Amino acid sequence: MRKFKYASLPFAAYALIFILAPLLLIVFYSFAGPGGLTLEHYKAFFNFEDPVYLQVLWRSIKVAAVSTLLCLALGYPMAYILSKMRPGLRDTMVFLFVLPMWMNFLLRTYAWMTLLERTGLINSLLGKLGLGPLDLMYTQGAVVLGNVYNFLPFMILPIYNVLVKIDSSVVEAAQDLGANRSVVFRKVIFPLSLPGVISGVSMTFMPAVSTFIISRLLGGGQQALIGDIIENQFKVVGNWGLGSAMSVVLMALILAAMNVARKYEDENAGGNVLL
Amino acid sequence: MSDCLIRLEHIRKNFENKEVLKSINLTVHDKEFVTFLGPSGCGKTTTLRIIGGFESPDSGTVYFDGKAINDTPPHKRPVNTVFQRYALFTHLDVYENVAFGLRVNQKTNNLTEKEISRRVSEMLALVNLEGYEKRVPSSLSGGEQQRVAIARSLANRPQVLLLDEPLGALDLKLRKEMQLELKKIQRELGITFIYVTHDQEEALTMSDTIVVMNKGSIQQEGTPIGIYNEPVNAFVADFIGESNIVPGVIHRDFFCSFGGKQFECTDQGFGKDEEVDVVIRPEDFKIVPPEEKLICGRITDLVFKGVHYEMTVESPDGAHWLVHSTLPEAVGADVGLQVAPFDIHIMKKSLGEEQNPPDEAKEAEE
Repeated sequence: MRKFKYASLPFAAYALIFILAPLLLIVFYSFAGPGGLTLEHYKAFFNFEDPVYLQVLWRSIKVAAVSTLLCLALGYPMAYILSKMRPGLRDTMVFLFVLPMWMNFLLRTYAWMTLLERTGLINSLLGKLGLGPLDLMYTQGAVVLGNVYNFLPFMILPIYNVLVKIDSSVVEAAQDLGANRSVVFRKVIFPLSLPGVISGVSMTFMPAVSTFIISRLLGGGQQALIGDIIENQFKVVGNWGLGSAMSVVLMALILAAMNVARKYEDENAGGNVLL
Repeated sequence: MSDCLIRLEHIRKNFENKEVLKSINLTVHDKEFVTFLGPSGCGKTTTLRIIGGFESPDSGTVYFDGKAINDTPPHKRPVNTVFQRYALFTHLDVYENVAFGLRVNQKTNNLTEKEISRRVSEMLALVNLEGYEKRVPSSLSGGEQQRVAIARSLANRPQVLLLDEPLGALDLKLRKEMQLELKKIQRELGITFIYVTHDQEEALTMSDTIVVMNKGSIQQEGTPIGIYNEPVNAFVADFIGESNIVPGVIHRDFFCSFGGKQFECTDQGFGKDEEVDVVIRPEDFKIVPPEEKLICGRITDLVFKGVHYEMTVESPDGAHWLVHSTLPEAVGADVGLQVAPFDIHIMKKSLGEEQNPPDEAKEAEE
């Protein structure tokens, strides 16, 4: 291992310049005022008299949570079915699930716009049936749809990876001890797949809570999320301090959520959780 | 050992056009320790899995206590299994692993938490793991994990315990300890054990009955002593213990020839001048000074094996003879090999079936 120590230097340098330094800069800006350090920006964000920013944060969390739950509800069964397929077919299917990710993220989202528009594909089909047109675009539903569509693979893959590695003899051992299919799933397969669920949830929740492209394109600014207003502070308003403070709050929130998840995972590995 | 508990009738099984079991017929008695012994791919594990319900036979019937159980799913069969690689529940501690089967049936069996706790302690005591309740499987050694697996499978008080090469992953010393312990547990609980292994010594040590299998069929069934002393064919002879197997001819009853010499023997009932396999155990040769009527040769190899020396004798016609003796002979010495008539085992040539070289098969992993 020692031999490879120097091989990590380029990445260490990269991480220092492009990840750590910007991070520190953001933290610095969030505390920087005209006359030295200040808590002004945080006070502006946590303004309980006029909680406009907090409302946006809350909406972001809600949208991200709903998106994540939908991803889980769709992704877990899919991952389970994939893991049960015979290996050749399985690899093809996993490939198909990853394939959309080769397309540019923006393109995929624009594609949804043309589908959801008042004159879009879905509405013209509905029109032929004598229904609609419906207002599909610029709704919270459209944002959730965009999130689910874009982040679903990040839910499926980690769960699938864990499920596929569960030793079939463990399942057989449970059956052998008297467990029927539903008990095997509840008491063995699902608990063993929890690490995958946790990493899937964090990998979908994190981008969903901080996205601004999806909410801008599909939400049309009516449904501004925290990502949108952060971007706004930097690019439109020019209030870098407030934008930085919001970023720091969001980051702290995500880190806290990850920590809770990890802690839960550790305890679970400790084996004292009875499901 | 009187009443028949499990009966297999004409069990056949194919995997992707490969015939894995060719009409297996077998009876397992109550409280018996039965071992399926054979090289990898002989069908022993498949037979066990059919009894456990994890595979269903293509044809044939599995009877348990006189009732056909072909359609009974594994979770309803009164048998439990110890799996090859333990298959412990890594998300549960030792206590919950052992309690798993009890909890699954908690409602139907009306078990109180106290009763479960009592049963778990009893099982952990049986496998010498008291005090391990709160440990997690990943913190245990291989031997300890295997004990947990055994305790877990016995907690439901099965009538039959199936063991699929349970000691395969343990080192030799631990394996020997566990062999004796398993035998003890089986005797204490008074239940039937069906054990699968490719290790002939393990089979000889533990079993009441050994079922030697090869290529999907049963070669021989009998007590360890019976199988060792009276192997029915060259395969069994070679798989159980070491053997010299050479082609020979039986001229008439009690008279045969092999290795270019003629011998008296104790076998009869073969055709006149029938070609046969002759099997002689290495320990049945006695090294004597060379003599015209004996097999003679030169020692080419001498290995100390602990209890005995293993020598290879090469005779002038190029044949090699394996000889075990407690007294060594120097490499290069010319010797004669004496063998008593009752130590010469005459076997019918297995028709058209080429035999697996068993040593190779024994080493191959499943």
